[in-house]
Amino acid sequence: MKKKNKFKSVLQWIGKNRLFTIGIVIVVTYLIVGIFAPVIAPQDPAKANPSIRLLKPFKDSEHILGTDAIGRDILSRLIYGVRTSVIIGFCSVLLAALTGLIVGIISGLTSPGPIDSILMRITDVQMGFPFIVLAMIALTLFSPNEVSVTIVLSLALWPAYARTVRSNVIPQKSTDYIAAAKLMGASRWRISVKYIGKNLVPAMLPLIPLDIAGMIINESLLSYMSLGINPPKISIGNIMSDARTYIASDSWYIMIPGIVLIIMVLGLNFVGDNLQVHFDPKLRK
Amino acid sequence: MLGTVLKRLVQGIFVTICVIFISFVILRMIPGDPAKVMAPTATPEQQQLIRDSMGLDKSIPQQFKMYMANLVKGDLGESYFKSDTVVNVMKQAVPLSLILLVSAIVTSILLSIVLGTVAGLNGNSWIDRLISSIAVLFQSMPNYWVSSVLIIIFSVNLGVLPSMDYQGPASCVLPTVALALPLTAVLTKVVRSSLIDSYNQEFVKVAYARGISKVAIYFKYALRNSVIPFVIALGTQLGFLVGSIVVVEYVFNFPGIGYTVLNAILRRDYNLVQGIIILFSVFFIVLNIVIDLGSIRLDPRMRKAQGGL
Repeated sequence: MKKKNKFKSVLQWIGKNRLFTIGIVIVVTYLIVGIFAPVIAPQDPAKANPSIRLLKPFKDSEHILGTDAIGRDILSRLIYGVRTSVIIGFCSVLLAALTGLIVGIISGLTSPGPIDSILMRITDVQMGFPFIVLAMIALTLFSPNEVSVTIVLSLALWPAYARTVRSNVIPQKSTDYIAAAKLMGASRWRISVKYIGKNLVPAMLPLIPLDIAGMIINESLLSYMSLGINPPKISIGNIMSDARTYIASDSWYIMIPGIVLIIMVLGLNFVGDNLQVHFDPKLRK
Repeated sequence: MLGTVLKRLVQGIFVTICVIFISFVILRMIPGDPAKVMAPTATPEQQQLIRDSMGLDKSIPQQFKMYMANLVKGDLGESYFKSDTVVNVMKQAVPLSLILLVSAIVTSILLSIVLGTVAGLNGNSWIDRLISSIAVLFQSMPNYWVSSVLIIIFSVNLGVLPSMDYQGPASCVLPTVALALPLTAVLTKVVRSSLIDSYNQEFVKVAYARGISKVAIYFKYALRNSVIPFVIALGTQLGFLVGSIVVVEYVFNFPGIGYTVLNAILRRDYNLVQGIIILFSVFFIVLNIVIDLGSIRLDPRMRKAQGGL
């Protein structure tokens, strides 16, 4: 009896948060696909079979999404591409959020002061560099691979987190609960983590899925322009770059990876948007 | 107000100089010798001559000093590959990119006000849901993929618009659409949500009670209230738009500033890359100052926080 009620209330909650649920399902599916890519992929993504070049999708049960220009299975390549996207997207945002969190808290707590000024000018310089140019220069300087692409992406993103955190820390400093904590003799460290840090969650959490979506697009973009993950490694971006040559004769070839990418980004955006509404009572209607 | 403007300007100049210095050093760390790329068949002596004539034999601080001295005079040096000055190369490319940028912005502003109003005035109806879902969809599409789809539809299948290189004004249409779609999506959401917000406010309800016409309420009260969030969103999106322009120009082989910078980096054309980086960062810094000052000017609450204007 009780169990049934619980089940019902879960269903009700899902009904109220349909887009959020769809988003979570999409994100979790892609995560599983990414993590278990070697197990899930039906074929070896590198195995070429020149006798079945550019096979159209949904024609052959062996190659559901068709084959590419040298007869490799597109579905398997996409599964490995999702793996690259997921890893780079999550890692770069994690790195940027952590750096931004540390810099933002230090900056906010010492503001106004020389440390704050210096840190904020560094974020200014960083933001003065357009991302795409920064990425192009950095990736011609260091050979592009998973690690360097992740670092470049987080390099472009961390100032935004530092700014957000700082602007949330500063107004908190003059609140009564921080004053009370100080009076009780709490250390700076304890105040930063337990009081200020906790209150940053509503500002930061919704940004994370939205930024992962952004970074996944940026990664695919760099790989598309041959500045990111290059063959023989697989990324959705370089699959599309391969497909570019056949845009006139085999249009479906560039459409498929794009759709796979867009569904992933949509899922992340659904999650992020709904978290934003959840934490901001002004948007809740 | 003047104090704030001056402070932001001084900060802006400082940041620009830092950007120039850092990019100057990084560019010279890129592996690859421009002399070898320019003249692969030349003898080592000839290559040395090329290096000497470009000033590449001097130390990096010395090169930087020379560069800054010329920069003050408005001279950005010569492009190594285009046999022209950097300023001239940029003069050819910038207008083409500006056409794309301006037409994309104008299209997006007009479209988003119309779509946002339709969605906002019919909050939570089927048309609102339709517009909002399409907006989320277009926001999630990478620019280069949208560009490819546009090429497939309009160039490959219908054959009505050119897809490659610059062949007159018709070549601007597809890149503009590719740039405008995501921008329109973002701005439509802003107009929609701020309209819904306005119509729930007391002052709009009072205006209704006073018998002011619906049209007047829309323009004078509701739409006016959307101006600040709209301008701020447009400003932040402009930053993304400049990034997207590089990509869209790459897909369409469109000889604007983004296409030029990509090729310049691949050919180690230091002076040209440097010039375009300066152009981009000045643009970004000015943009940020304008957004900050604009939001202070438009929003009385911000004015108070800044100690009055």
